[in-house]
Amino acid sequence: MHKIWLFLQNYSAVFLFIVLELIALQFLVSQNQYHRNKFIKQTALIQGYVQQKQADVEHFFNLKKINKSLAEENASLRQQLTSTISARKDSIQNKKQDTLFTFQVAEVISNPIYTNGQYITINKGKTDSISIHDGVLTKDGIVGKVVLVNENYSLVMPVIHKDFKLSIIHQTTNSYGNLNWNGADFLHAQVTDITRSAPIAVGDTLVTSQYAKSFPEGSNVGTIESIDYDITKNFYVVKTKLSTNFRTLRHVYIIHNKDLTSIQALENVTP
Amino acid sequence: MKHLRLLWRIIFLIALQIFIFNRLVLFDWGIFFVYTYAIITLPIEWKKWQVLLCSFFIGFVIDYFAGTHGLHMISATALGFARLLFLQLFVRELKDEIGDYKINFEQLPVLPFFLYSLVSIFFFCALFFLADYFSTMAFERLLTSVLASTFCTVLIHFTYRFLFTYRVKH
Repeated sequence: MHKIWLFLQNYSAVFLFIVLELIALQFLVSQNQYHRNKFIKQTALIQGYVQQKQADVEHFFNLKKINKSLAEENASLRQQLTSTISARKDSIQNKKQDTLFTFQVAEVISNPIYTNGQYITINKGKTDSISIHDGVLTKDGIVGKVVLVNENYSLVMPVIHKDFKLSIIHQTTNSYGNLNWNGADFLHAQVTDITRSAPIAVGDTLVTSQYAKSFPEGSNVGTIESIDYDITKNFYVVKTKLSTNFRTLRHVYIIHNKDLTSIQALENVTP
Repeated sequence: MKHLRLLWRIIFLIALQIFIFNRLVLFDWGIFFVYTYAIITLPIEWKKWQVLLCSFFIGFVIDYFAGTHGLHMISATALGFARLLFLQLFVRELKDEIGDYKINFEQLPVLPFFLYSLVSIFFFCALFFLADYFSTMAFERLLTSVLASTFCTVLIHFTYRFLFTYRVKH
């Protein structure tokens, strides 16, 4: 208290100066139309600026919530999109009308790129109806497949795993191939088994084929970066730039194929 | 007696400003703020709050008669607040060993007084015209007004000083 009093005493002239200037300013603004208008304009500008900054800060703190809600909305839109496509196909083929895939949003809580592991961990599990072989993708492209599930979490084998295999199709020529990862880097994978008779080119898009049952047909996989071939074989070896950036994984969509279990059960009983 | 003389000087300078110099404008740009002489030469030993209140009051009176509603108050009060800072720029030792002021404004040599007056009046004019324009958009006009008025006011300060201070002294 004593220090505050001393402080006030030391700076009493400054405080008096401020008070007198404010009184003078009040005179100026209240008595002159020109100054009043200018003052109101300036204060409105400052007020607007401060409110904008305040809104920016609030917006920043709400980003996580907004992000989550957008991802959920995206998932629902994707589901609607696939149901529309399948409904169109089904109406032509007179088959069942309901959609084959369901979408859910999950958050990546562990990324092998940063943890030196081999699998991605996501925050959805059995309680969210996640099951093994469910596909995982982002808006850019495929991420991997669910390989292990517990009550609340799941492990995803990413595309950049040496055991990951996927059937793909060259979009322009409809030539089939198989995607695998040779361990070179996190940005590229290689595609084999595309027949050399197919006119493929650098920059062409590769998507999932109908044989990749965990993903909707036509999901983005990547683009061709370079083309090579083995003289002894009749197939290309294609270096593919993956569409998914594994360094920035945050929200992913988990896709469940409703028919997958019955398809696998059928395939398993094949003599 | 000293205070009475000071009071008369303030009243005289205010009257000069109101009756004569408020009506004079040099080439549409330069205004003579003769009353600022009273502020920059208020006794150096006065406490800051005394100088502030006196400057504020002088500004108020001028505003009242000139119909400028606050312009003179703002700039005169700021001048009263800053004048010692400006003086310290040109006079190294203001106080003696005991802490009393060694100088007074009437005894200041011509050059330090000229510099002190110039800087103080420039500051005053800059504030006055900034408050008047309430914007820096018309910067060239603002600067011309400030420079012209600084010139006119410093000129009138020296005339006043010559007529009423040096002549009395000698």
